[in-house]
Amino acid sequence: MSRPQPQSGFNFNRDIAPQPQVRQQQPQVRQQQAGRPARVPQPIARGFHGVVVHNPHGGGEAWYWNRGVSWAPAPIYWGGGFWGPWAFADLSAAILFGSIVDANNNVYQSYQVEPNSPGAQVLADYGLQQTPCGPPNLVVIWGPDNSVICAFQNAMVAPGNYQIDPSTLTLVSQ
Amino acid sequence: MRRLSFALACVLSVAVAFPARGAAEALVRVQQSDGTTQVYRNVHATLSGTTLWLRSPDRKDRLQIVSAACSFPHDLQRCLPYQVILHKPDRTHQLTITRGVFYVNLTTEPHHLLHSSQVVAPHGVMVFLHTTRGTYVSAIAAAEVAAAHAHLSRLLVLRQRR
Repeated sequence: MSRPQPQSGFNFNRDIAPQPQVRQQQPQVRQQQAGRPARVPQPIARGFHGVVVHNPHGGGEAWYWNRGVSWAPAPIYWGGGFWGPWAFADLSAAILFGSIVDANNNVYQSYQVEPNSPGAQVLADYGLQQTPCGPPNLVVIWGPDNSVICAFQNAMVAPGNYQIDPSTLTLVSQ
Repeated sequence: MRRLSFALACVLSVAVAFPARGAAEALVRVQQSDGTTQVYRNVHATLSGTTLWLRSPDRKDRLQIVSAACSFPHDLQRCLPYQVILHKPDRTHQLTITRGVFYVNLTTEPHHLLHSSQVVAPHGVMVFLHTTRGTYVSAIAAAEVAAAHAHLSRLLVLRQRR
């Protein structure tokens, strides 16, 4: 039922009403052959201080890949939206792609990268193919906001932990 | 030429990061979780960087939609809304959203959304939101809403030609 509102204020009464006491449901996710989560000694290094694996398609200038516009993470999305529009509150739209467990037993879930995302461009630039995290000897790529994905190694990128520099879309080994 | 290109890129970044402003009328549709739907015409839409302001037909309420993670898949700018605030005359309410998407067409040509027949008009804006209370919001501001972004399109075209 559609009701035109010629001269009225916005009706969001349901959204601004006091929060009812309900038990929150765990989001259900589709899982794809997630193996046993891999244990990695140091999953997240801060800053970019390792060996840079130069992006073969990189322009060198900051944000060249985004038409010169700086990219900033959107807080309610996994990886800030770098890997796709996967909102934490609705991860049913995303496909679970394994997970990583760090030395402190923190579990980092991984999801399939959306084809049109900045993360997909990283994979394409380096010729990497995403695979579920879990098995050993994978390329483990840490993105914004403690997000992680995994890929098979290739001639350009050896197995190990890498962090993405979002400004240049380069991988920095940890 | 390289220096010119770099200067152009800088202008472009600044222009997008420090917003040009544009305003126009928008059509807003709010579908509540019980299925009832309100359609608001003559909504005043203002685009300020990656924040869209929608002012209700009675000019009393404003909906502020803040987004980030902007990128350019194909020909449209796509951003992800993460904060929505309803400004009533007497109070401000934060609406909790589960997800959303925000498209801006900075070009002078209409462009389809990916995998959709929906078209975003030249300099148009399209926003879709889903709140935690099950409300769906869509806002379409066609033509001229991003008129102030028109110069960006020209810069983009110039840059692509170089």
